[in-house]
Amino acid sequence: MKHVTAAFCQYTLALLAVLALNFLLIHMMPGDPLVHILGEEGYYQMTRQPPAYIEKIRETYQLNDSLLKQFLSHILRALQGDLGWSHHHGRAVIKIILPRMGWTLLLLIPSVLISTMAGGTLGALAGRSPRGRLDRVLTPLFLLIYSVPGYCLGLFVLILAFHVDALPMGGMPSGITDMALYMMMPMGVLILHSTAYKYMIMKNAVLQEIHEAYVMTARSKGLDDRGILFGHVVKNALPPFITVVAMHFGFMMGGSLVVEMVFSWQGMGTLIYDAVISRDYPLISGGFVIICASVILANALADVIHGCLDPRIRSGNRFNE
Amino acid sequence: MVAWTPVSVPEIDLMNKHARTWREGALILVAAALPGVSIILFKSLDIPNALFSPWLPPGNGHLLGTNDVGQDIFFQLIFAGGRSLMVGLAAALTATLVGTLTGCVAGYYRGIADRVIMGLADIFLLIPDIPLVIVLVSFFEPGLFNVIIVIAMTSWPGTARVVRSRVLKIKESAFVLNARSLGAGDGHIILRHILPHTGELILAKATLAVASAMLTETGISFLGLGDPCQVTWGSMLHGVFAGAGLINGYWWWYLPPVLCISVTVMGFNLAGFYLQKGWGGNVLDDLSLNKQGRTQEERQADDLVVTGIAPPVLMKKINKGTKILAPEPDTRNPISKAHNPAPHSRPPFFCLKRPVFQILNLGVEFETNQKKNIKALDGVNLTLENGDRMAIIGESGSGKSVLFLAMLGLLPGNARISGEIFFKGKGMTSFSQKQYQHIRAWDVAYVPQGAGNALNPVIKVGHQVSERMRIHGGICKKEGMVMAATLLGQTGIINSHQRVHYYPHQFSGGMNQRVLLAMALAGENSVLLADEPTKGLDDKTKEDVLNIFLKFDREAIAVVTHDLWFARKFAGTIVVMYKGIILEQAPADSFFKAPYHPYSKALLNALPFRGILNPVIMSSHNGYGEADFGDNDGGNGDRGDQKDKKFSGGCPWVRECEHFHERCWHMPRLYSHNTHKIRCWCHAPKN
Amino acid sequence: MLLKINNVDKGYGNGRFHKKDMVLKNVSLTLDKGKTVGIMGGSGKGKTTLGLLMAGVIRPDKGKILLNGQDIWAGSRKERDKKKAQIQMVFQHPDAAFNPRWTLEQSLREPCHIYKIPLSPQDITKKMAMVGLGIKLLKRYPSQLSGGELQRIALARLLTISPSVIVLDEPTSMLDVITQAKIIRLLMEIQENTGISFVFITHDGALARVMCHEIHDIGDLSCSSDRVINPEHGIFIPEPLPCIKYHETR
Repeated sequence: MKHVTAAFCQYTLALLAVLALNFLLIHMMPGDPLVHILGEEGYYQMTRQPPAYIEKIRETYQLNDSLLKQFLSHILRALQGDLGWSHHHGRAVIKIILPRMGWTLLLLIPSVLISTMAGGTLGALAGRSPRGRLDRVLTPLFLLIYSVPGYCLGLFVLILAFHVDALPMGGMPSGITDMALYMMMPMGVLILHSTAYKYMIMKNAVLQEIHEAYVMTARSKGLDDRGILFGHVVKNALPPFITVVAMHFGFMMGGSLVVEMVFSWQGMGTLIYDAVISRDYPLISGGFVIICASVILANALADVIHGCLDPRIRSGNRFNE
Repeated sequence: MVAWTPVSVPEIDLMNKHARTWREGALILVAAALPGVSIILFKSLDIPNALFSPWLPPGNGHLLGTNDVGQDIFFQLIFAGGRSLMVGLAAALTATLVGTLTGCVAGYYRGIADRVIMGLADIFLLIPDIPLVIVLVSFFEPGLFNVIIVIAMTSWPGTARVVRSRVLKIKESAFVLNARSLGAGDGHIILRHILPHTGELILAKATLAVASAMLTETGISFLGLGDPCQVTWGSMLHGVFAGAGLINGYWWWYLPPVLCISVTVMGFNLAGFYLQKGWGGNVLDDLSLNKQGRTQEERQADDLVVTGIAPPVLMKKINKGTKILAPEPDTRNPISKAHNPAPHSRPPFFCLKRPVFQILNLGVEFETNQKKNIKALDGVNLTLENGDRMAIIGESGSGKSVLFLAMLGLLPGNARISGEIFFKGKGMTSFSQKQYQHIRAWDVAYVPQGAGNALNPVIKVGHQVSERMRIHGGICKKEGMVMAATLLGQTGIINSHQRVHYYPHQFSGGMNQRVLLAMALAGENSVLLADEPTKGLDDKTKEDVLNIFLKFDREAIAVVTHDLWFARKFAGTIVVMYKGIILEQAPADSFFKAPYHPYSKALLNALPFRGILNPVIMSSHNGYGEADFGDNDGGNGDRGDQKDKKFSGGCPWVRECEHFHERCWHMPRLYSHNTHKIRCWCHAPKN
Repeated sequence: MLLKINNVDKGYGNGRFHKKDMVLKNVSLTLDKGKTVGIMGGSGKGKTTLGLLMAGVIRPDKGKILLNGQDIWAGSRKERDKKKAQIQMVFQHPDAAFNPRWTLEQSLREPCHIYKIPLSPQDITKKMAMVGLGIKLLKRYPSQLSGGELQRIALARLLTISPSVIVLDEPTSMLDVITQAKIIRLLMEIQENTGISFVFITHDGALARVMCHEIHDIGDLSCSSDRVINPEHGIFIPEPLPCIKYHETR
């Protein structure tokens, strides 16, 4: 129970920290905070209005109140889903972000699941027999893939696709049917890259576990190698592996933003890029908050799974490391 | 949250390694600094800003052609590369400095500072770095300096975490406690003990940080969010993308930066992994004062015996602790009577005595990374007949456990076996894995040592106990639980129907030992091999375990132990092993009355009630004539001492024997004398 | 009276984030010159904590530890160091007691380095001879020696600053029986030759009986004089194996 409370506190704090950072960026940067609240375009439109109107806008955004009060209302509004108004798009930020976030998650969640399964299984198999055939082939390959930046991998794939000319070079699917076709390349890159990472993590976890004494106990009961690997070793290696997968989710999120750009996938990456180019500050910070919230959520979820898988944590015997 | 470093390979004796690691690290840093230097050189040439005609293919005076504006790509590449590297190095340096400092403070002083720093680090670790960098860069001016600061901000927590746990580990290691008990102050401990042990780790972490900083930097400049006035590899790629270089097939434009980024990041990553491998994750594990109850020594010992992969110098760590002499139970107690008759006069369980295990001239060697092999067993001849209750006693490293593992076919891959083991007449050395599994499942049950580690921490004890029957006997989980409850009840666990649902960490050491016993009972196998069943137990539990053992009715039971009290109470036959060789085999009663072999005598004399006060009994004879060897505490004789080679052929006890004689340089045979079998020249028939 | 412990309390945890966990409460003990006091008790009863307190490694929460009548935690840094040097400690794990990257000679010189005492090569030879070792071993690293040898060097290291009390925290529990016997004999020899006092912490009753002049048993939280076991009675001490002749205690 202690573990759950502590973890919950930590995630709440992290979310608060993100919101605080957001607030600080808006209010502590030199210049008029209204630029950051309205975005450059909105601010420009506003400056052409009469001073009374400007004052009214200041009033609506409570800019004349104390900072603490502003901060509290900022958090309250954010928690209610009000992340501001994008003048560039002429819509509420949250309404712009959510569908784009959907596209990103469409790309991301299958990648996370597939890479976790593939990386985990391959890593476990390779860890079972170090210096075996699987290990010798996969380890250098995955080390290579992991070391190359994700978007460079994407560019390689793109260049390849350009010369082969079999798959769409990027862009968005128009219907369900060609969805797979368009998703294949960006997702492939994401999967490949994170499979490499998870493979290495799992392999090392299994390598460590395989020397534990309980493995010998299991062998002395006449279990075969496969039974020991999946019945005993993986069960122990899985909880920390899940935690790593969750932590890597944030990294993948960042990576997918760049990969989206490579394949012009209309997700969060391109949205934030456009927002940065047009200096649409509400959209930038809103996107940031949503991304962070989703990463924090993923980590919290992983913590719950971790707790279910590891009885030592469930009963509160082992807190953190 | 568990602190994970991307790839850590636990291994390697660091002793000889750390000097090399430092050298390699320095080399990597020099290599990394080279492009930076070249930048300064090229800057003075002022070439990158010169303009030529656009889209020139390679050749014609331009090594890599020109881009859309007409800049020479080759020079731009080098120029940009220097800048990318500089950003990476500067950011990594900042992050490493901050991370090391905070990590050290948090790890060494603990308390509030630790909580605050680590809480902050955890929060930073949760926030994905590329989005954070994008947001910060878009709000600030996108200058190089800002990019460096922002990247450093996102990457210090990783370093801080790793450094902290390292510092913590060293701080709590026994040698630091020792230094503190000598009277050393904080300054001495940090400077002389902790920092030298953290250096390579920081270096490895810094190298990886360069890679990730470059990755982030090129990532955001690729998005076009970097400083527009400063060309980096990422912004070169951005230019390609914006200028539609990909579609038009200007390969000389996009290929070089992509390759450069990949190769450089990969280089730093690989170097970092390599350095990390060098520091080996848990070099200090065996030194730390482990508070979780399972001492590292035990674990190490298990590891070494079980895997045999340790270098020879480490083999001596297999120390089994001391004897604890428990009170002698009342002899009128019917249980303690059961062991009294010698095995040959005991009513046999079966009418005919036939050998269950017959071991002929068994030798086991472990191959190691070094050229020298570790000899664990040498010329072992042993017969375990049905009705036998055998105790194999000896000190640490005497190869007792290895003997059992060989009998079960559980030796690791680097073990080389000579000789033959017959199980009920079948030669085992030619068995396939399947046949071994069959024997382990149906015939020979094994009670592993180390109650704390031998159970899987994430599986309920009930499932572990019944696993053998579930897998081989085809019963379902529910039936298994019922069976496990009965078995646990038999081994003296009260309320076993509830406790089958417990996990090992909810049990005490003694309880876990009972679980292991129940596990061995589960298959109703005919032979039971138990490895140190009383290790680490208190006197009361030890007695309980003994009583369980006395109630077993198996064809044959063999126990490996260093606990003479247990051996005496339980066994009919005593086998004494030393350095992988059987020195004496005798009926228990006769053995404890008067052992024949000088080593056996020394062993019994060393018990606190006799020898300690009486130096005459212990011989101070020293085979070397030099005072360089204080004692010989069972380190397998394999500590890299050249002198040990001299004795490799002789009696292993030659060094300290009170009846030392020249012929002892040669190995005596196993001679029979009365009911004893002794491997000593003293008992050789006179001719 | 060389060392005296007066109503000492010790607990872990600072009482703010963690509940304070009392380990020792109201413990009193005295040690005379040239004598050995045994401290027995089950695991987790605070034997090692008591040892660390006596050796001046950790501070007591309450109560005083007096060396020759002076509180070891009182006075300036210099005075404290002087008293601290008089009480030293040997730990359970000989393998871990040395910095693995130092040669044993560096480790041997460490206490003299800390207290800024000169140490001549002759001194080293002499101290090493006292523990029955040659100086050749000092060129090696800790991983190259056996547990018994390391424990001897740990002793030699303390002897370089000639302390008057050595706290022995289960010094032989990681060693084999035969080595244990040798170390115990060595300790008793050293005591005879130098008149040093020992505090012998152990869980092995038989061993304590051989070593000690007086045995104290740590019960729950306390260790007071009324719980001193008279060695003659030996209530807590298990019977020896019947085949082995019973030996008189010291």
